[in-house]
Amino acid sequence: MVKLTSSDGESFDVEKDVAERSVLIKNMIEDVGDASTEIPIPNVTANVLKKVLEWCEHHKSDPIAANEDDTDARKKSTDIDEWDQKFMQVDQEMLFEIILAANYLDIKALLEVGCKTVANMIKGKTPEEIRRTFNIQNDFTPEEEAQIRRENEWAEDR
Amino acid sequence: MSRQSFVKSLLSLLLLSIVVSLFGRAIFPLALIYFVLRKYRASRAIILYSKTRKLPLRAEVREYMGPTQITRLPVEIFTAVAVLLTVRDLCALESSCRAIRRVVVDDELWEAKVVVEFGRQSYRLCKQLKERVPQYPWKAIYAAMGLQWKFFCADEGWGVIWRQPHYWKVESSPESEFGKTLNLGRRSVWWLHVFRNIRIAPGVYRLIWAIHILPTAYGIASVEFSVRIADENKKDEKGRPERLLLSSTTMGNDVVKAIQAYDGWVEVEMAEFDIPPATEMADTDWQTILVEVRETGQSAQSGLNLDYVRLERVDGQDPFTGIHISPYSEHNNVLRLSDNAALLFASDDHRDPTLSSSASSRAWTLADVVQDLKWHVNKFEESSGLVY
Repeated sequence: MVKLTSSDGESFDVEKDVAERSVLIKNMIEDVGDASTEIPIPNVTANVLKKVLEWCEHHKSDPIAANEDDTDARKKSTDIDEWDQKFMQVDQEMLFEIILAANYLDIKALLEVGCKTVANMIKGKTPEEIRRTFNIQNDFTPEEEAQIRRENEWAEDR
Repeated sequence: MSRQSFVKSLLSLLLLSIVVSLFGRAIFPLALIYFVLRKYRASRAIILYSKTRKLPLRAEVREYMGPTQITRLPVEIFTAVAVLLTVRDLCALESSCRAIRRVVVDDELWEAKVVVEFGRQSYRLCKQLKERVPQYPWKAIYAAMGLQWKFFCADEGWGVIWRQPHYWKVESSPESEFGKTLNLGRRSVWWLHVFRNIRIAPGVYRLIWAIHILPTAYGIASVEFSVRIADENKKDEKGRPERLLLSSTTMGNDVVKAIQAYDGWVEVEMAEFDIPPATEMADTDWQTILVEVRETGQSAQSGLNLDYVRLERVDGQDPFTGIHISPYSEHNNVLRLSDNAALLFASDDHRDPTLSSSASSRAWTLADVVQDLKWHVNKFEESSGLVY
């Protein structure tokens, strides 16, 4: 068992192989040499850490991708398995917190699922729909918008 | 209550009872569907499938009111997201706001897209090009990679048996886009064989030969057009890979006569073929195909001029992203693409989100990038002994 402490001071007892889904924690445990010491996670709050650990728990027996080529092939598709899809059905603050935490904790597979989720939110939308989805302020002038549209005409389906 | 309104309500009650008796309990879900659909139509969130636009049925865009989260992502994660998107999606994303545009037009994203979508072998070729001509942005190289190429027979790179003044030679031809064709003319050969190697990414393709048949032609009804692929696993005693037939066609007498009766110019379309991935490990690596026209029969052949070979990707998902950017697809309109491509790379410093209004400051076009890329591909073929 490993004890993890979130940025807001909450502690979580987790199995070692669950915690070691995170390369960062794995390296820390190796550095300390003693699995019983508390490991602080200063960049992640308790509610996010809980969610991330839930994912690690479910995926604890997944094989870890060994080589680069492997990830290249997977990168191309945005298919997400069902459990992960359900897992990612959270509000946007939480979704981006999970992505940032996965990046910080160095959990490649979770980061990938996060990126795919965001990509799927963008897919097939018009600029206006993208702005509404993410509440982005449009800071282009109408002339600039027209110019970008013209520049990108080559990509239109014919 | 007036008599009139009493009759009206009585009638509507009657109508309602008829509807209820007709549909029974199904009335409740039906009503629900009706109201939901009405609500959706009012908010115009459902975009119905249209045959002309081919837009997929989309889910309602969920509006999000909180502070923008997407710009919190560090550039490298945003790039990882953007790599997963098609060019069309990226164009939409680009016009959402300035901060996002800066990442979407960045060189790093397009370099990553070349690696992910075209494989490492192609990436090495592109990298060589980028090192030789640093002013080409990666977006231009990506676009050049995605183009489907046309190979003019009068061009370099073709193997021609009997390429001698008395047999095959390049002659000017105003009907050809290229201005010249590879001509047999009124001369004749007993052994007709013209071929070239082409390197392409895995996918489903269609190959089209553009040819000109003279009124005096003979012996060409049984000429075979074919595409073969090198099977690296099966090699002959000299170590050359065996070539498997992917697709082939012959015209036959009736077709030849029909073409001659018209004006002799025709595009011979071959059956679609599938280019499997080179190896299981790297499924985006390119393959070498051998494109040829040959006659192995007993008679002499005459009256055949060759214009070009055109490769079209037909598996919907375009070279690689889900859109069709071939300049040759339907309109045969090379100019239009070049114009837009010039606009596309209008800004010299593409990291700068300010938009420049003219393309004149740039000294190259997308056609240059395509040409240079071809040079690297050919050089690679020569160095790896892929020449027939």
